[in-house]
Amino acid sequence: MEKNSLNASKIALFAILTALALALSLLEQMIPLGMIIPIPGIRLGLSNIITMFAIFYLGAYPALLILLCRIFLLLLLSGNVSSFFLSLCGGLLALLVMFFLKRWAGRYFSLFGVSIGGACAHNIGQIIGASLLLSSKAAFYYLPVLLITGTATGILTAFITSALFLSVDRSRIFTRYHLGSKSVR
Amino acid sequence: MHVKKGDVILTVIILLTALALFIAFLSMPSQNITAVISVDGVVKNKIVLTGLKEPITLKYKNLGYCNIVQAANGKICVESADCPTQDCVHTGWINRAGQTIICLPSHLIIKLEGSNGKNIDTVVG
Ligand SMILES: [Zn+2]
Repeated sequence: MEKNSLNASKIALFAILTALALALSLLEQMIPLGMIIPIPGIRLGLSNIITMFAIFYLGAYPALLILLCRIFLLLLLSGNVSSFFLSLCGGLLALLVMFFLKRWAGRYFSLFGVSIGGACAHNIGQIIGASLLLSSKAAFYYLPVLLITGTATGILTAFITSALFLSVDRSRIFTRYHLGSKSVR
Repeated sequence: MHVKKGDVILTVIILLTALALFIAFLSMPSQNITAVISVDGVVKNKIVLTGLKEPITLKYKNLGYCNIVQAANGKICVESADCPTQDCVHTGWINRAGQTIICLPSHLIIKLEGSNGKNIDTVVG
């Protein structure tokens, strides 16, 4: 009985986080960053906040699940197959890198390192995806610029995420409902 | 939350990599700028931009999208396109070796290559 209710609350939480990540993805599509830095697929990476939250509080598998749901829903909403493919490549590489950085979080990296690494990995993943789409290495031309913008957006999302972690810890939602372990930071 | 040693080292490595790549791009040969225009990874046109007397307008259609490319003396740009993001148009004129314009929806790539000395024949196909 109690196990079932726990599952239900977890499913609800995953759904809320997916919806939040989707909303953030749609929000950043409205920010015309491409006008200032005209690079295909450039973005603020706000949905990385949700991925980081999921990695820290729920684990790698729920983080992957939320990521895949968000990217697939974005495809249904936008119908843009090439940006779906880029998001998938970027999102998966970012998740992988952030998960491994988080494993050493307490010792070597804070949330900032995880966030910067994730943002840059996302951009590198997108370049790899674009190279596959274009059958050309030409997109690597954008690598230096994307490493710098990745560092900047990584710092930005780290600030937002640390504020989020602080308020979640204060509200004690997670300890009250026994939803995953408390983050190690 | 405190910034840790690993954060700083990671950031420095990333920024140094970016700097090294920038320097690599800047040290490319800069004479006889040639635009290599390819669609779907296949080279369609090679235009020597340095000393180009009259501007050339080229049209590329692929995957339901159309890009209008304008080449002039020493520079090239995507003048207009009907792709949704318009990144290729927003890139504007490019004029240095190594610079690239990519239109992801139409799989169009314009890459500038340079050489040291020597003339290359203009190829417009
Ligand atoms: Zn375009």
